[in-house]
Amino acid sequence: MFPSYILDETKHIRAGPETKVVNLKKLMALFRSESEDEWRANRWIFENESKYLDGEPKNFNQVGFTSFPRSGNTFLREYFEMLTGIATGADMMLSCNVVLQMQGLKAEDIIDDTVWVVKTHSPYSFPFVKQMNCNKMICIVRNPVDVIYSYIHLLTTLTHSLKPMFLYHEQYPEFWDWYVKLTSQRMA
Amino acid sequence: MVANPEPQLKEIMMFLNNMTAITGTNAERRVHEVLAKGKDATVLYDLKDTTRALVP
Repeated sequence: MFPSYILDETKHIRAGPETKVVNLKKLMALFRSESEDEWRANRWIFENESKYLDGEPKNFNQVGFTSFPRSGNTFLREYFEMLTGIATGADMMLSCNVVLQMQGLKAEDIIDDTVWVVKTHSPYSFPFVKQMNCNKMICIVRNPVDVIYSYIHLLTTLTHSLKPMFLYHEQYPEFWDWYVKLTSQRMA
Repeated sequence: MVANPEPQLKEIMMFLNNMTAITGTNAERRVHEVLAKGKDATVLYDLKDTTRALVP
């Protein structure tokens, strides 16, 4: 799936010895430039899969990206990766999101200097999330009515794209009332 | 963001790269390249019908 990349001892996908990586300062200079020749010379960054950064400290421009679950987080991560050419990291345990890793978000559970934008659901807390520092944050917000309904689909089907054949509020009204109140409190 | 991503994508590029404008830069060129890929380019998994209906 990711030629030239390797799985490390904890099953994280990492750049291999032959894998091309990108320097963040040079990438930012490329974006700020108006030179078409320079753009053509660096087309490889945006071809095929997203790339890792070279690991040079990026404490001058560490970007966090937060949302409540089911707010369009993965959707926007795809845009980040396409726009920048760089893999997006995430602070949640790999075991929670192996499916996302297999679907192409290769830097799941990686927050170090090899990724640029890092996803989090902070301040909503999940077990064993990594702590990270950011220079700036992006927050995505979706209509809470849509989020509450989408989140219960994720919790009950353990998938991002399926939903049950029934309506919760009709089949299980007491549960639905409890769930909506609980989730609303967590969003507040 | 779903219905009309261009303004937001430009804002994102400016924010990421500490720029106040991207007109004429490679950042703007990249935004246009991404938009040219179409709405399905960012779909990692199947969207539910209710979400897909939002996409023009």
